[in-house]
Amino acid sequence: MSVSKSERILNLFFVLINSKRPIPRHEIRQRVNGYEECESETAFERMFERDKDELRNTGIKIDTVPVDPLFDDELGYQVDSKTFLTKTVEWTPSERAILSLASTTWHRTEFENLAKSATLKTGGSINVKSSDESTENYSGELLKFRSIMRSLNSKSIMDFRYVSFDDNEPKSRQVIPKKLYRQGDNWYFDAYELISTTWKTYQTSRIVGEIVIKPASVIELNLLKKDNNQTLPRTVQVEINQNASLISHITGGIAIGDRTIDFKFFDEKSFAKYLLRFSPIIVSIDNEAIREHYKNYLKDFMEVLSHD
Amino acid sequence: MTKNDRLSRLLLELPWLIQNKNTSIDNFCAQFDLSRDEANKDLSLLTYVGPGRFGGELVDIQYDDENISVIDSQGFDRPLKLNYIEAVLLLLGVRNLSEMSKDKQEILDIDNKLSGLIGSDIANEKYKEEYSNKKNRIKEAIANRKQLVIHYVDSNLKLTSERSITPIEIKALDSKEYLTALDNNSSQKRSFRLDRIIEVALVPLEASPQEITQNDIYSEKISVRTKSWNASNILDLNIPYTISGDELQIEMDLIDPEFLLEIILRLDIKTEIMCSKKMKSNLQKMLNDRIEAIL
Repeated sequence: MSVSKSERILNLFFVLINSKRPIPRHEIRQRVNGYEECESETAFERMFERDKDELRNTGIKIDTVPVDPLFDDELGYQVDSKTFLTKTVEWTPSERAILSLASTTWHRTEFENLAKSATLKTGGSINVKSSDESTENYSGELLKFRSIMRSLNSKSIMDFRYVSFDDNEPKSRQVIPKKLYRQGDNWYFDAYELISTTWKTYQTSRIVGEIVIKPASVIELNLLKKDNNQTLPRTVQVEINQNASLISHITGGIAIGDRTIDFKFFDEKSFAKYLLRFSPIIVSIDNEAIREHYKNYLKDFMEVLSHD
Repeated sequence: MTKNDRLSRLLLELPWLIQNKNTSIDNFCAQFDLSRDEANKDLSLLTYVGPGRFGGELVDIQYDDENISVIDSQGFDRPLKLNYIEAVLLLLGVRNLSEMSKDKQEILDIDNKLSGLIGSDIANEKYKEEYSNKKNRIKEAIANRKQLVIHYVDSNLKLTSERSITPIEIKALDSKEYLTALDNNSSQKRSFRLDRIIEVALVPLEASPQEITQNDIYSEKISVRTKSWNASNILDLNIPYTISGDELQIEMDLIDPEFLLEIILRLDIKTEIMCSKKMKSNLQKMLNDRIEAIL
């Protein structure tokens, strides 16, 4: 009986995950049920390449590595261990119910299927009864995130007002976002700003008002391709009067000595403003521009406190 | 449905069935949006695959009209990793619920578990593990009526000396967890942010916790008005504020001037501060000291 395509690809997957060593191509042909139907080596190779692509499209990465680590004359294949969750998580029934509800947040949006698939991967259940009768219950915050995700997905322009760390008033921004992520308590996105033509990082909670999504022109998308190199952060060392290794996780930096924390930053002025919250323990800053901005901010606040 | 969709679905189904032991076939159909016929086809195909061609080398699933049980998953017992967008969607979904839910602790637990499933660019694995161990030790102390000796980073980021406390409960507020405990030296109830507790040692409870007393502590009513977008800067300080239009207002009884200064420095220079002249003069002196101290 002939083996279906899905069956053959799953067989390939099982052969690979059950092997502790990389498997050479000729052995895959012998062991995977379905490849014996190939009439020639060329036909097998074409089929194997297509099957690997299919697996890759489902999130399963197959590595090509030497069969013998000491010699690279024969290559073998193995499933990248990062394909799987590193650990299984036990969910309580009520946590599953919450996950299920969380997934319905994306009901009737372009992200519905992805959210369902994520819930099922966690072993959670989809709230099947919530469907059509449920009313959309989005907080203002979530509407903001939906716009960012939508813009990320379609490579569109986000037009919004934003208060940067060193600004006192919101300013208009037009950006094409690249990646949304969380760091500590805050969410950020990296985006290409069309006016300054530079890559910048934005904190979602500093967006004021609504985000308007506009299609990007070919010229604007080309700008993005031409300037694909994001600015790399610079580093500054800040000496403190406390044990750095015990408190660095609160500061967002990395302890590099008993009393020194290494920070990454993009903009001197914004970073100086951020450092103000650590001022009770700061002893020195090894960057002159940051140090001057930092002192000026402290002086500005002296002025604020002089008002009756 | 394309064949690729089916392959993705089949790869979801097996780990899901392992995690949902003895699920009903109706639930399976509902979860994967399948008819009975499609479910039977998927389950049948899954029993034909494996690393070999013979009985012991194939996935073994037993199912009838009622229930489904996976007997042998042939090594595929861990779910596939969430991709980046999937992880973000779930975290945002949970966050949306947290804004509406009363049970912040449960939501925070789920958030932590989800973060633990995501790659290191979202969650700091090492720190998460330390945090989780610390939380478990505190929970153990609460359950077994033990005292704790802790080191704590206070609101001025200074590491306090050893502090003996009797833990009472862990509470979640916004995205942070706090330990309510009795400070055994001052006999006062205190709130400690969990991520600021550095070292935790359990000691047996020698005596019943003392009665909580309210000593006379000098406090001053202060009021701060600033722009609403500064709210994100003070979230982790656990202070009450109200937002009306684009204005944010903080009103509180304040004991520690250094804490007020920390709040102010997170806002902007258009902030209005209403407090006594004495307090303002104190704050100015502290600022001046910091300007002069910086190298």
